[in-house]
Amino acid sequence: MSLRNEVLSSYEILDVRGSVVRSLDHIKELEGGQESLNAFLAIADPEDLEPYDRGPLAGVMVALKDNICTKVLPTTCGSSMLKGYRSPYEATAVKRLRRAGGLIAGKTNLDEFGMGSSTENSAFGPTLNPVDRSLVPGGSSGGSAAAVAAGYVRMALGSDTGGSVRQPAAFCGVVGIKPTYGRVSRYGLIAFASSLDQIGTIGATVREASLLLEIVSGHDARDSTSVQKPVPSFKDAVAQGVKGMVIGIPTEYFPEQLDPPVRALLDEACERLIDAGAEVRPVSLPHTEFAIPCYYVLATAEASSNLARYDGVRFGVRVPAEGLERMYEGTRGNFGAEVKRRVMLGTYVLSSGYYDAYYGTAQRTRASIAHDFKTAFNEVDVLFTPTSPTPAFPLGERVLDPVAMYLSDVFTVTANLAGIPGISVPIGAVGGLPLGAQLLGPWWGENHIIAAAGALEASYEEDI
Amino acid sequence: MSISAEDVKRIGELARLHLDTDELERLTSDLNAILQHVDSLRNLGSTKPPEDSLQSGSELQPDPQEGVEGPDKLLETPVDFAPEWQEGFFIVPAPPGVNPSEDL
Repeated sequence: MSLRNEVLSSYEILDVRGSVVRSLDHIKELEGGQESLNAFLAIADPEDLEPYDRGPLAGVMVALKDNICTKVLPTTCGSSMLKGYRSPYEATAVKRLRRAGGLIAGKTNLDEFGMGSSTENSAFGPTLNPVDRSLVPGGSSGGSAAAVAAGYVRMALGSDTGGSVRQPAAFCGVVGIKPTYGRVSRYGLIAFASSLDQIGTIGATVREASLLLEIVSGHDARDSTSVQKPVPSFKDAVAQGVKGMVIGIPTEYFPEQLDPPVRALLDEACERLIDAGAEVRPVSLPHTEFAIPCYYVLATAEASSNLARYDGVRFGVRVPAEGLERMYEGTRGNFGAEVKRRVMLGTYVLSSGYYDAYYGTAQRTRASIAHDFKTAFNEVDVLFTPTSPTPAFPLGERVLDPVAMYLSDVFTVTANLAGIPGISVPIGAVGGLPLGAQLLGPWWGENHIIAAAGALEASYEEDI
Repeated sequence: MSISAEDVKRIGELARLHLDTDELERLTSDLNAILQHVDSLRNLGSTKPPEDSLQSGSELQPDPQEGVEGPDKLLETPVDFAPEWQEGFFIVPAPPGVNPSEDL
């Protein structure tokens, strides 16, 4: 075969397939060895790769969180309940990225069914943070963030129900985007809390995370919550800059307890935005203090309903027992401790007599939180906040203290409750550990937050 | 609000989760800690969100398209015709064998 007498595609000329096969072998070697991060639960076989040779992602390997359905590889949700489960269909987001030429590198580890903030709640063991293997990578999309941070892939898909893309991106020093609720189809995303779940993207840079988001976004008739809105060019927004942009600093997101080194890095990032041409002003989001309780009532209520299907009849690895009820209970014993805790809490808050005290109040609080954002976005274009109160914490530190673990999400859950987009972008390190800043935008305002994150990223690149 | 091990056992039955003694003890402690935190919501009491606040998802609805019918408003709301109505639910007679007084 030669260029003279054959029509060859760029894919063949550059031997993309050979390069991808070598990369997959390399990932398998690293993940199978003693230095494994346990970022992947399954790695693609070269024979599974389809010969897509055109499109903006031609030949680019993308990792997928293992709660996003694929036909070729199993989809386990990090749970013994779905061990070996193979979906009969694939998620719309996966179809879109394959059509764009992307190649599925494998499925990444996660907290069981997306329930957690550290990727320690996986039935297949925790993922380690590639920056420091004694630390958690964040969660629940910890496997995806670790895979990008370790350089296994440049891009990955995650899902974000309360910060599960942005917080691990911050802990691992990469970029994570949660789009507006309805921007990306949830068809084929295994449900945790349907009114909060959204597929998000993780990239080594703002441009890569934005490009992947642009590819997977758009209306899908198979998801009734996916919205018919034109998808702008997110990758073009990266270089738009922040000149004239008004950035709000919500006072509630900068409590006195924030560690001084964390605050110092955030202040510096703010200065950089001002230097790049943005105007910064304080704003107030008064219902922020109620966000965590509100989130944990609504998310667990929805989870208890969504996870009712894992009974050994409809879904789940059946545990045979005498009698139907015992079989149900035996099968649902496959759930891990955190899933059981949340299903229990969700069942309680929905039970007769407590429904309005918890669920009803939480729904009204959710509306007030969304109203806070609506009011703020009348004055400013984007909001600047920490992604997480701290950098990555040690493995095992918060496993036995659910409330401490839940509080890791204090700055991220509000975006899910309101349905607005958010991005986490690295802004340096505290004690050698990456720290992320979060930019929140109005509904359908991904372009604004991507532009601001792009300006911040460019400012740090100038230092190098 | 605190819950007892007996309450947790009953919730486990509703959720179809078998809980052994250790799990029951741990979950009772965990749920009480979480509910103590969640109870801060009660500080809001029955305060209604502002009139112009977003009801969940209202900002996110697709733009109405020409020629596409939307759902009609109900002439009567369920409250108007329900024999009994509480917290957004119809109240119906208990099924045979269920004692409604055995509440959580």
